[in-house]
Amino acid sequence: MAKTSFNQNSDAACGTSLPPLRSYDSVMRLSRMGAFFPHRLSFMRVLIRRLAAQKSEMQMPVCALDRNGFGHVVLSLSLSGRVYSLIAFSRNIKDSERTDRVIATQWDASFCLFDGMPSLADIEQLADKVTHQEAGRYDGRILTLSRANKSLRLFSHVVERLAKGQQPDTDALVATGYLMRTTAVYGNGKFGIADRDKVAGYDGLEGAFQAEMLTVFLIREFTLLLAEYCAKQRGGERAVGLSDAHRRYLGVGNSTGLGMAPFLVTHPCLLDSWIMAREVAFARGLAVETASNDQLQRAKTLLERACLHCYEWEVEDTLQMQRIEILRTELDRLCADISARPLTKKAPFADLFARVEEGSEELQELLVSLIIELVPEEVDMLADCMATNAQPRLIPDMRIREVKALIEAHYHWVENIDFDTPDADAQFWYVSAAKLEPRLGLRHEEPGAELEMPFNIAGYIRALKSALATVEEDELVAAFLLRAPEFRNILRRIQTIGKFPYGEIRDNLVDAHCRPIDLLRCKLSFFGASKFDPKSDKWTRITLYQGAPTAADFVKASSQDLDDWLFPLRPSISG
Amino acid sequence: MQVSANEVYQTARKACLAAEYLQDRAEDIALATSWLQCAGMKGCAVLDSLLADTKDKQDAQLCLHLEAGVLQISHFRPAFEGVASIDWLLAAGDGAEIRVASLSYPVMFAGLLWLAGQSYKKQFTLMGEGLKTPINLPDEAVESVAICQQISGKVVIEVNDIGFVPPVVPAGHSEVADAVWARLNALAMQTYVPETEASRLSGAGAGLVDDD
Repeated sequence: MAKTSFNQNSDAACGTSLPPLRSYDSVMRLSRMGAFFPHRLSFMRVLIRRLAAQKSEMQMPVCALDRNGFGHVVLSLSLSGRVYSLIAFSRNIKDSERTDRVIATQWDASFCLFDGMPSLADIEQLADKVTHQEAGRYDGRILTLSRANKSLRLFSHVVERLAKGQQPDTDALVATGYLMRTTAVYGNGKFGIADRDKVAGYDGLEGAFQAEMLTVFLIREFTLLLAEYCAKQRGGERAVGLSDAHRRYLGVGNSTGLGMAPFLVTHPCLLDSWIMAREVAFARGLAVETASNDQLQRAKTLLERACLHCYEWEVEDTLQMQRIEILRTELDRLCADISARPLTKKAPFADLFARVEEGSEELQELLVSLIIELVPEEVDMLADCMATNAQPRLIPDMRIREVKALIEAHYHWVENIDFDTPDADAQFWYVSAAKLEPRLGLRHEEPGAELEMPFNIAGYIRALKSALATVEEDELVAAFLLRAPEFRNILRRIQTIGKFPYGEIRDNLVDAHCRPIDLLRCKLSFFGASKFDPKSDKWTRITLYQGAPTAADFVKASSQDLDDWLFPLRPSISG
Repeated sequence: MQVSANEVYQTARKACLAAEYLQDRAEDIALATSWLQCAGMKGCAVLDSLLADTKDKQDAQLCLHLEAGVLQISHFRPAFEGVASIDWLLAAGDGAEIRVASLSYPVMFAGLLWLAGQSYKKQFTLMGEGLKTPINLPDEAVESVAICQQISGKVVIEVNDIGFVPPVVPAGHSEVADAVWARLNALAMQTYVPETEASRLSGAGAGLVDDD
């Protein structure tokens, strides 16, 4: 399939016209971004498709664990002819030392993704560093750095059951969904590891976050291996391995907080490429004129699966649980409606989406993921468009008239903000000195706002509009900036958004009611995370790779059979 | 010590912010610093000197004026008059000219010019006292950046369309003196906000209890 590329200023993609896309004014609202679901362009899906197509074979060249499962393991896997190795160190820590906070210093397991096959000397040298994570210094052979803690209840339960020759209790598996949860996955040069530019040059890892996704995939393999190893040590001949269905259901947990949110604001070109690819994929699904019987049957199957998935999705967060309950009702109603009134023969998927346009944003965005799933041949190549080297760039020879037009086109939502109320800038984003991670503070109650991250986009637009009110329409941006250099940053952003319109979140990010959890869900949906489990409006638990094939599947099943894990279900149903 | 290109960029950006550079200036200078490091020049050391020079921590008002279509710069700071003059040259188009009374931190400015030239497909030509021949940025070899050290006194800079593809400098690891890195990091730390107890509790980004 030919590689696709977009030029957001043109109406062409891959030599064909772009279909009509949803407005960025609608898509880029926080409430909608906070309703996104994973989809077949999500980075985990892309990686799994590639590994499955290549029938990548995972090997374990080193296994040096003691009878309690402490020690180290190397898991190696080939991708596009290059070998990558997860070096995993398993350690015995006290329960009191187990915390998911970024500032933790002890973990049950710590990992690095090594470029190639490490020697024993490499492993020995890395052991002390990797187990201390941020305290170590690394070199360019290390592509990512990560750590994880056991889910004590489930890990113990699984080991105990397997040791007795029994499969784990499915309810226990569903209640947690993972054996370990990561607390950070570092990439792009952190602590001296390889830069993103280097990794992007490797065939197969050029897409966004592919090295990180590969790391988490191998961590998942490690968690399965460790549980089975411990069971074997305990149960001896009686012990059994996990069933294929249980193995696939178990993912990797993750606690994600504010650290992830600023990325979407500071990478507008990349954000645009993600959203654009998803919107084009969705539009291509809507544009299908007639569907095959297989496609129609698949739509029905996926809808039923989505329905069951949502009935299995239980969270403690009151607001999210209310949304899930509404979603369940809406999906039931939609299924009944389709049974009573089949989709139209002409443009059936457009008909499907038309039936949910009055529904909740959760329902609409679930349908976006579902419809994308129905047209793989039309959308899978779009994954190539989801990484970009484009950076915000000033257009110094633009006339002020054009700047005003861009503001009108992309920032009219700022007009709806009442800047006279304290709520309008009640919060500020900053990097915590104690935790070295982004936080939100209360501007009118806490010190530190003078060091805020530049996320008060609406405020900057308002100030610029005021400054431009008396400027000649024909003046060049560069000439204006000679008098008012303080506006260069926001001017550059406006001009960038003119070219990358899905790169701007069209909400006030410092408003008292801004919910960072919406940013997190958007980004995590692109990773491919499921079962969003908000613990506040600032952090969420998720599961990665739940329902995904395991490495063992790559060599024994066809790659098409391994690409069907949207809306994962509990093993007894899907297994 | 060995540092990655992104470490240099992030540390330099924060150090510039701590020195009260505007956000866009901090980003541009950080990109230039990282590029200089990758190109084998001591970008971090140059930045360290630049930020230590208190003259360069002035307010954002620019020390320049237009005279008969030529931009005249009396006091040159790479992050302020330097960035503004590049924007102005790019906007004014081929043949546009600026005159600088005295160029300070020419290697950092050369890094900015190189990256701007690469991004906008333009070439800047520097003519000045102390130079036997004009310097073109970007050029077919990155060594032209180092030659900028020889500039002293008045400089005239012109911009024209580029006639070749400048060499790509791949991002990668580079060597930085420990003391320089420590100073830049110390500055970068000044952009972090001490937490209040209220913030710790309400602004936390992950759970406080993690036993499941």
